[in-house]
Amino acid sequence: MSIADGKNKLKLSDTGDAPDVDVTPMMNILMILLPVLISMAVFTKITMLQFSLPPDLGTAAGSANAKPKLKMTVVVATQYYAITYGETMLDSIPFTADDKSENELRARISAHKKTFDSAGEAIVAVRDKVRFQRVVRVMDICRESGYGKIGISSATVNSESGV
Amino acid sequence: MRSISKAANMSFMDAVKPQLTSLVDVLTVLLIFLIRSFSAEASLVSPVSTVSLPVSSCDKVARMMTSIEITPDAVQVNGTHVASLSSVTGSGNPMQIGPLYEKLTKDNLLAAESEVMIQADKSIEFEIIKKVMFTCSKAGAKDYTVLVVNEE
Repeated sequence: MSIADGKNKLKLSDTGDAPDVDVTPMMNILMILLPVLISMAVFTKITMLQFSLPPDLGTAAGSANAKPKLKMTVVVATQYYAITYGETMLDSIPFTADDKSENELRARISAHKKTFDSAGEAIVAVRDKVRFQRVVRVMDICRESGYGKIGISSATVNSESGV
Repeated sequence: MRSISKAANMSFMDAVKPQLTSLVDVLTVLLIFLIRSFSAEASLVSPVSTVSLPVSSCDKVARMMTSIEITPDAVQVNGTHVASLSSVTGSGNPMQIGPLYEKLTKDNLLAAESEVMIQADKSIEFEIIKKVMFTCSKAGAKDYTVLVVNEE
């Protein structure tokens, strides 16, 4: 007589063995799902950053009689950053290869923002020899500081003001 | 005799049974990572292979429009070579890039949409980008977009 028969039938737990979970269907699903997801995974996301030219440079120029509105301008040179408002230079930050100068620029822009009447518009004025990556970083800093509309212009060397 | 061989067979089966728990753990973690990096929005824009795009925190998804690529060697419009970079750089060269202006106006690339997308290498100097923007402006472009790689 077998012990599994009739009233003497043993339960699985009574045998001392832990019950085995059949993971085969789960493994099958994972093996199908993984190649599909790997083929569709996005490891680098391509995005776009919008900007405009200042009105007097672009083709969409405003009327000649309209008084130009003052905007915060961040001058990006090879050796430094400068924050100006109109013709007044407010700050100058020496450029460093690490993130220190960019963090400083972010802090100064946030500190000056309350005093500006620029309605979220900023201009990034760039010198000729500046690398494009730095321009994009400054545009990011302006955007993150609450300047939604960003214009790019060329910065010329002004010997009088030093900007 | 038969019972002995059956017992031996049973113990052999127990010995070769693989432990799948750790494998399932690894696959589950991998699955979570892949689902997280999965994007339902297909990327419509594919950057030129010779251009190393700048990194940005901007997360606005890129869309198709007239594209100007500035590689370390040349200026292209929608993948077609228009000018070499050596003919553009330097103060001796004019602000307006002639071949680029001709291409944009002759093919009416800015007739339907006045927005242009610039794919520039991150090591390119602003002087070249300025000339490209100036030329686009003369050809009728009003809005500009630069293609970047999201840093996340």
